[in-house]
This record gives sequence, C-alpha cells and structure tokens, in this order.
Amino acid sequence: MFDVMFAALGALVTNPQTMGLMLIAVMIGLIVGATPGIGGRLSIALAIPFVFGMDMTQGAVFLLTMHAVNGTSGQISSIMFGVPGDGDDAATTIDGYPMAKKGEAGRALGASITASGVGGIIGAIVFAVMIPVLEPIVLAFSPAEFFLLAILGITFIAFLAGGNNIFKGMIVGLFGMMLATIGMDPQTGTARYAGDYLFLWDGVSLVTCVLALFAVPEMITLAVKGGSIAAISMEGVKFSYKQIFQGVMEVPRHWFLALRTSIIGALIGMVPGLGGSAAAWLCYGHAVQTSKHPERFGRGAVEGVIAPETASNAKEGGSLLPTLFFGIPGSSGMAVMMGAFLILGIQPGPAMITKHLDLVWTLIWALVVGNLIAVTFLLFITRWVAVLTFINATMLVPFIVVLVVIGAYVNEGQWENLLILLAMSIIGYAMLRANWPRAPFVIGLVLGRIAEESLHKAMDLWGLAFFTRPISLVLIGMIIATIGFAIYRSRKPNVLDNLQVSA
Amino acid sequence: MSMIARQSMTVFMLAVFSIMVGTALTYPEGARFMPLTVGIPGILLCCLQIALDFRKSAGAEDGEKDEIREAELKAAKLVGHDVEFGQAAVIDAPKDQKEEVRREIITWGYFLGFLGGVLLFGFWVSIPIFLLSFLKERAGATWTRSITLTCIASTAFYFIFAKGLGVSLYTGMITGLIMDRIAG
Amino acid sequence: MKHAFKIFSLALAACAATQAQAADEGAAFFKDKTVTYIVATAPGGGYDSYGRLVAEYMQRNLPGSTFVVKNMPGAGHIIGANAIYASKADGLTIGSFNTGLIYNQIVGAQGVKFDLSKMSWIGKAASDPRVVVIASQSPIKSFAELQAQKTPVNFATAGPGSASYVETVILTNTLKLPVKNLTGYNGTDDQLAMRRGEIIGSIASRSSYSTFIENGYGRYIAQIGGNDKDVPQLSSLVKDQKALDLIALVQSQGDIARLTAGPPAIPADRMKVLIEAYKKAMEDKELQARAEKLERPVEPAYGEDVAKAIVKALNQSDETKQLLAEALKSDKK
Repeated sequence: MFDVMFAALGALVTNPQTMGLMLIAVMIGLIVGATPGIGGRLSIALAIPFVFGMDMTQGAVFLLTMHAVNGTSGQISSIMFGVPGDGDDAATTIDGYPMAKKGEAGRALGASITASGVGGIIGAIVFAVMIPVLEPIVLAFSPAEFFLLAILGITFIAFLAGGNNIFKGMIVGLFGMMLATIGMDPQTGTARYAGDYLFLWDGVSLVTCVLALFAVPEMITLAVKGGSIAAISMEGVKFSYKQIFQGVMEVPRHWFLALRTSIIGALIGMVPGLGGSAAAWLCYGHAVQTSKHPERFGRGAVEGVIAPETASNAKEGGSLLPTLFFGIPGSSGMAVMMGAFLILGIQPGPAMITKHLDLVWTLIWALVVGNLIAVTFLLFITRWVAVLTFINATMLVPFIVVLVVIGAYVNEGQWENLLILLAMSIIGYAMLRANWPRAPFVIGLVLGRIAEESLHKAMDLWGLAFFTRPISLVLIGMIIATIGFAIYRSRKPNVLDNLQVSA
Repeated sequence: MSMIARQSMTVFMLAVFSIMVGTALTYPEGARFMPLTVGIPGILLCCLQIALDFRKSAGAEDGEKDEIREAELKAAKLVGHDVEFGQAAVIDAPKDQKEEVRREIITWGYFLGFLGGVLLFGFWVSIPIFLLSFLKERAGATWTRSITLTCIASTAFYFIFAKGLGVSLYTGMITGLIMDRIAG
Repeated sequence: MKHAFKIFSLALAACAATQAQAADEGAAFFKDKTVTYIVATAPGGGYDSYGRLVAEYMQRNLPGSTFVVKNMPGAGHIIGANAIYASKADGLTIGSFNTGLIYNQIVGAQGVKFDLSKMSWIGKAASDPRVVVIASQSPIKSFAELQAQKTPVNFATAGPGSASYVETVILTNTLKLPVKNLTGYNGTDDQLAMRRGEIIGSIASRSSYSTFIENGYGRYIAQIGGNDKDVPQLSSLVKDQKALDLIALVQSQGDIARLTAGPPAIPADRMKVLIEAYKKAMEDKELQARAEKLERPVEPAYGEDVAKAIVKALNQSDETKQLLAEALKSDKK
C-alpha cells in the first residue's frame, strides 16, 4: 500500500505539467474565493469546457485543487473587513474581525491560513484512513441522525451568547430558524411566506443573509466612526512578519483543538446531506464549548478563528470520499466535480479502490500539496494585505460595498435578491447597534432547514421511533449534556458575565 | 444604548415572530409545523426579554460602559497580550452623538442610493457614480484621486466580472427600458 | 393615372427591396450582437453544462455573435422559464429549462407565467428516458414482482411540485402500485437512501442513475422511452388505457430533453438563423463527443418538430388533467 501511496506522490510532484496546472488552479481558486458571493460552483462550471480534452489525472488534479483552495481565501476579507465570502466564512468573521480591530490582523490571518492548511492536510489523512470503513459510516447516518445533529448544533447557540444574553442569543437563533422556513416546505410544497414571489420559493439565500448581516453593518459602522479598522494607531504595533508568525504558531499551541475540529470537519464532509456550512459552525460551537473561558469568544479569541477554518477545509477532503467511492456527491460543490470527473472518464464507484487506487492517492496528494502551496502563498502576501486594516477605512468602504452587492446579486442571479440584502442589512445594523449577537442567526438559518427536512423524512420513515436508533440515542445524550453544561456554566460566578458578545 | 432602542429590537423580533406564526396558521398541517415550533418559543422568549429589560434601570447605563471597558481589559489580559483600547489616535472620529447620527443617516443614504441606482440603472452606471461620490464627499479624497480610483476600480470590476467570469450584471429597470427604445 | 402608377410601382419596388433586406438581415442581424442564453439552474450540473456547451457551439456557427450564459436559478426552473418567456422577442435572448415544466403548465401551477405552446422553439438536444429503479438489496426483480408486493414499499421523490414528484405520483397512483411515496429527496439523496435501505425504489431519469446501476447498487425493472433494449418498456407491461396515456405523456417528456427556446414571436428570419446555427452545432463532431462525455448523447430535433411535440404534450384530455391535478393533491398530507 505504501508503495502506491508514495509512487503517486512522486508522480505528482515530478511532473512539471501537473505541477504547473496545480499552480494555476491555486491562483484561480484563491482569486475567485476571495470575492464575496462568487461561489466555487461557478468556477468549476467555467473550468469544465477547458477540462474536456485533458488527461484524466491532470484534469482531476486541476479541478480538485481549484475547488479545495476556493474555500481558503474567503477568510482574508472575513478577517480584515468583516466581510464573509459565504456561510463558512461568517464563523471566522465572528472572532477574526475583532482581532483585526485590535490591530492583530496579521496574527489572525497567520492563524487562520495555517489552520486552513492544517485542516486540509488532516482532512486528506482522514480521507485516506477512512477508505476501508467508509461504507458503514456513511450509511449509518440517516435523516434521524441529521435531525439530531442539527439540533445539537442549534443548542450550541446557548453557548455563543453567554451570561445574561442567553435569551437574546436564543431569540436570534430562532429568528434564523424562522427565516429558514420561508420557501417551499418539504412536505406539502406550500410556498410559505412567499406567495407569488418566486424568488423566495427556495428560501432566503444564505450568502445574501450573511453578507447583509455581517458585511454591510460593519462597513457602515466603519464609515460612520471614521478612522481605520484597527482601532489603534500603526505605531503601536510592530507590523512585520513577526505578527504573522505569532499567528502561525497559535495553531501548534492549540494543536489538540485543531486536530479535533479537523477530524470533525472531515467526518461531517464525509456524510452527504449535512451541508457545507454546518461543519464550520459545529466546530466553532465545539471550540466555545470546550474552552475554559468561553466569554472570550466574539471578542477576538484565536480559537474562534482556528476551529472553523480547519473544519471547512477538512470537510473538502472528507466530501471527496462518497463522491469518489459511491458516486454520490458529498456536497453541492462535489456534485459539480462529479460531473467533471465523468467528463474526464473517471467512473466513481467501489471499483476506484481496486482499479484506480493510484488515481485516488494522486488526488489525496493533490489536496495536500495544493493546500501547502496555497498556504505558503497566502502567508507571503498577508503582510501587504493586512496593512489595509491600518489605512483610512472610509476609502476602503465603497469598494467593499460594491463587491458585496455584486456578490449578493451574482449569487442568485435576480435583482429581487438585492431587496433581501437591503432588508437584512437594516436588521443586521440594528442588531449591531443594539448589541445583539448575530452569529446564532446563521446557525439557525443553516441548521433550521436541515432540521426540518430531516425531521420530515425521519418521521415518514419510522414515525417517532426514530429516536430510539443507536446513534440517535448517543446524539440525544450529547444534546442533553450540552444544555446541562450551558446551564451550569451560566450559573458560575464570573467577572466577565456582564460582557455582551458583540458579534 | 437607550432604553427605547434596546426595547425596539425585542419588540421588532416579537412582531416578526407573531406575524409569521399567524400566517403559518393558515397553512396545511405539514407546512405549519416548523414555523409554529420555532415561532411560539420565539414569542415567549421575546416577552421574557422585554420583562428583563424593564427591570434594568436607566442608571445602570453609564456604569455599564465602565464595566465593559474594565471587562474588555481583563479579557485582553486573559487572551494573553497587552493591547490598550481607546487610547488610540483615531482620525476623523465623530465629535458627539448628534454628529454620529448625522453620519449614520448620510452613510445609509449612500448605501440606499447605490442599491436604488443598481435596481433602476444597473450596475455599470451606478458603480462609478457611487464610488466617485463616496470617495469625494465622504472620504474627503481629492478630485484627481477619486476619479483615478473610480476609473481603475470600475474597469477592474468590468474585466473581472463581465469578461473574466462572464456573469451578466443587472442592467437596471430604467436603463433596460432606455436601451430597448434605442434598439427599436 | 400615370402619377398613381408611378407611385404604385415605387411602392412595389420599395417593398421588394425591404423584403430582400429582411432576408439578409436575418444573418447580418447577429453580427456583433450578444445573445444571452439563460440557464434555469445554478452553475454546474447537467442543465448548466449542456447549456454552456450549446451556447459555445452556436456562437461558433453564428459568425460575429457572442453568446453569454446567464444563470437564473430558482423555483424549480420556473424563474428561468418565466424570464425567457418575458424577454424581448428580438432573438437575442434564448435559453434552456426542464421539460418537466409541461406538467406545471397543464395543471396551472402557481407561479407559471409562460405558455410553452407559444414559445419560439429552436430545438432539443437529447432524449432522457425514465426508468423504474429498485435497490439491489431488495428481492424485487421485475415489474410484476413489484405489483405483487403485499406491503407498500418506499419510493423516493423530490420535493412536492417537482417534475420527479409529479411523474412518480401519477404513475404509482394510476398503476395502483403498492408504493409509499416519500418526498424531499433532492439531487442524489434518493440514491444514498437506497444504499441505506430506507428507500426501495425510485422513478427517475436514466442518465442520473447510470453510475449507480453500473456500480451494482440497483437494477432497472422498467423504462419509459429510449432506445435501449435491455429493459422492458413500461407500456408493454401495462394494459389499462388511462395508464398508457399517462405513460405516453411521460415518454413525451423524456423525448424532449435539453431544449432550447426563446420568447414567443421572434421574427421568422432570425428564428431561421438561430435554428440553422443550432443544427450546425448539433452536427459538430466535437460537440457530439463532449455531449457523450456528459452522459447525454446528442439526439436532436429542431424547430417545428419540437414545437409540435410540445403542443401535443400540452394537449391532454380533461380526464388526464384531472388525474394530474388529483394525483398531485391526493399525496399531500
């Protein structure tokens, strides 16, 4: 087995054409990923015509690298400007942007970029290790488990707003879940709250909400308050590679957390049906839960940056598993990739293990190497990019606003989406000013949908008996434990109890 | 944060939940399950929060600010580094509450104006106008700088989105009509 | 009199001149113009890939033109179709959507703002037969065995209102199959559910299941339409006339896949040019090779032929319409 493994690696790195393609893929992926709202699907869809004639391995490596790296660059705007690229990035924004405001953009970026790299690599390792046990694991997760996982994620909301803010956090979370019900319901096909407004039939777009709730209010606040994003003057901070390096070292400092969240992210990616953003948020919640000082979160805790980044990159490796071995895509991005694989002549299925193991290893290595290239490149340019947080922000604001609006429009392709952007921006700004937490909203929106769809299917299949399935019982236990822990925590006397989570 | 403002957020949430729950009652059984399961607890929590807000007196307001500052410093120490807040040289900060509100209104005006412009006249018309006016008026940049930056940015956007990604950006309702008229 | 004659002949000459100009104008019109090809789904995925393929090759065969693909996803292709229908009929906007919207129009579903019979039909690119798939771990090996089941088996469909839902429900109801339809299985959710054993079967398009079947996870027990001989046609296994009518309706759906159409009343000369470009694109060897790779080999039909098929499909007896509407209602809880 090892000889195949390393033979594949050797073949990959010694082939100049393949490496060249990987470099191009990394560049494209990073650029496309850095723009808010423009998703990975579009870039793959555009790349497909080029891929038609390519050699099977090279084509697959090209697309996979591009896709994997796409998720990595969104963190730059999330941390520096509070502008998330998509649902995943919003989790990074919660702690990343406050770090930038404290003048620690370099540190935050160093940590998040390294975390992405580490997450991607661990994800690839999990992928390799899980190949033999893939089938039983993937098949063990049915709608019943999805539903309970979603509920587990939602109970994390209780953690994100600590102290006397617990009600506000829950209200916002429920608000998110409420908005998730807009659109055609999975059971009767009633267009809830949408009527004849077709653009609402599929629900409110997550990307638009995330941009409206986080990016726009931050931009407006910047323009109002004046000054620069970093609320301290440049002289106060030794700006150099040192700060970035400090950030990089944060990941080994929190190695156990990074390892856990990577594995969780990869596992979530492995099971088709849970959806992309769930990984980042569940791991963010996990980080809050397992921290000794959860009140730091939302004010610039570096774990709040490490956890979601490792998770969202690891899940890419994870989601490749069912795509390659079952022919069932692990995420919507993977669905597009699968189409591309078919074009290249790769036939996903169990035969991949027996007939194309070398290709599988090549792809795993492509993920690892691609991540490394991306991380090195990003760390290098971060120094210049982070300086932007120190210049007069009012100059930056209009450009970012334009990008945000373009992103929101392109994401759905309809102008009505801009109305949603407007409405949610107003609500987001009000929340910001009133010091209400916004993070629970995203969790509610993302998981609320999964929860309802899964609940409906689980009830259809087993009725209420679905609660008694073995994994379900484990999850129920975890939910109860989480709630219990939350209550216990909020009872503990704590100086920082009055601190309001301003995220 | 004033009492009224604080309450208004909760009241707003309460209103949203109530309206959505009310509408949900008209839906068939399968469809109304989730909105009710989410909305009714939402309404309850909002009421609880309003009750909680009432119990806080206005006097605690200023005390809270200091408490927060102190707590922030403590948090910074916990996280492991000494970063001082509020002692910074912040260029261009608003002088007082009134000025801040004025700026808020103006900034929102720009945002709404841009959105409206996009909806009516499309992206390619609104982007340059928005950039130019914002840079010049709000950011206080010189004419040359504003125009140069606007031109560079607009061209860059055009090349990246229209040519590079091939996405067609909205042309706006009025511009669309005008273009139809010209095309005949 | 002479005066009038002069005017008359001048007018005649002018008419002839404009006619000649109009004929030329057809091809010349597209020079330096941008044609927007609307795809009713998000980027990536079957419709988008095929649409981009068609757009690229039509551009090659329409000198001077530029084709731009615009994604308008949402509401199960209805938003895209509405947009195409409402666009200016100058030949500069065409697009593609799911043929299944025929069902939506027949039952007068909410949100439908188009009339497929009036649209300007450029052509269709492929066929997409339907199949009845059974999971491999189930003992059911043939259609007869399915009909003979004593307890209802679980079948998966996509969300209520979608074409997949409509087809599965009307077929299982009219054929009185012992089947319980579970909704909400979008994309490839149903395949995974079959692997888990929650779902026994599904009625879907053959191309979406080909990988699944090749991997041995399931088998076909019947198909509707298509040229493959490996599976019996459902129409040969059924006697009831009502059922046969519905099967024919579903088959007409499957025959017209990957369509390209424009808004009503595009000028005839421009339509001619567009259809020509489409035809040349379909006959291009390169496009055919690529389409094969997209698992949808080219089986084209053009212009009037497609328009006639659409009109025929829309023209269902009141009884069938009733059946469709009923089938859609009876499964709702």
